Amino acid sequence: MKKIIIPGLVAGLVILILSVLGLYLTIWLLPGVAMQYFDPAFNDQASRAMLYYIHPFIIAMALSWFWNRVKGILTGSFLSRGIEFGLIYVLVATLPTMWLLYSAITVSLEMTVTWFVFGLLQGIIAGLVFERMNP
Amino acid sequence: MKSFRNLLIIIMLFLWRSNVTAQTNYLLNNGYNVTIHGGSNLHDWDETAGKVSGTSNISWNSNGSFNITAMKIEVDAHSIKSSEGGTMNNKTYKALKTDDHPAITFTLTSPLQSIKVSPAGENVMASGDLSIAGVTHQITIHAKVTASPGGNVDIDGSQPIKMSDYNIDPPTALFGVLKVSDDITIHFKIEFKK
Repeated sequence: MKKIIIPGLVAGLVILILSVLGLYLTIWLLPGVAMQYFDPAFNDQASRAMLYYIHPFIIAMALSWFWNRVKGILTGSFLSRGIEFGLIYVLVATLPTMWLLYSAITVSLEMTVTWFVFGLLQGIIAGLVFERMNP
Repeated sequence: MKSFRNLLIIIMLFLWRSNVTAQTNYLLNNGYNVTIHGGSNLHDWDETAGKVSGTSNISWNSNGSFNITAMKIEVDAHSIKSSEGGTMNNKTYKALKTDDHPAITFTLTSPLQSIKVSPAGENVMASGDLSIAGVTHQITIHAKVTASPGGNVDIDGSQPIKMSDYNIDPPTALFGVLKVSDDITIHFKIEFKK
């Protein structure tokens, strides 16, 4: 249990930093995409914004449990195991979810791509943390 | 003695009549331009009011100057359009609570007296009540008034305000990271005609 929770918390913290950085990077690098977040489809209640800042820990805990189950089949170096884990996560979870979101709600393709890239980075970073802390 | 008093009254009435003419109702002309300029941590933005109406009472003095004794300007809040398109329009209407308060109004509360007619215009300070989103505050607007003798009256100026003074929450997005500035400036160029 300890082998799942502690790496999960550490990965959650790293993904949280990445998440906050991602928000500012969106404003600086993709102002057109940032403006789309003013759409009423996106929630602007401060109370619910806190849920966003908690989500890295939800993902990281789930990924930590998943890592613990599949780490035996991942071979290679620190980098290759971490990246492969990230790719598995993004192919199994992120890609189908983004596909569904893009088909079901009014979001631009560029916005959906940013979410996909963000998911990929989350998976890879989590994989690298787990590889180091729970090899 | 009595005839002298009557003469004095007649002279006074004549002087008063020659100095002030009757008030005339003026209506806001269609060539208005009312814009709102604001900022955010992304970039500046502008919004334009599409529907503005107004009335004023103006009287002309014998020396060529004029008085604005009453004035009311009304902006249809639903007609405000953003330079950023429909997405920001919806945010604007929500922030302005347009369903409950469909109009932004300015009502002059202190008459503007003896405004001189000059090609360059006359700077005035107009005190009045500004109502936005159901909240009213007394403000003083610095404006330039230009008029042709006995003709149309142009008013041109700008007024900085804080959204929070009118209980308006500046719109946010991206979980509070993208913020619209609290400070905005209302620019106006309007004309009243008989």
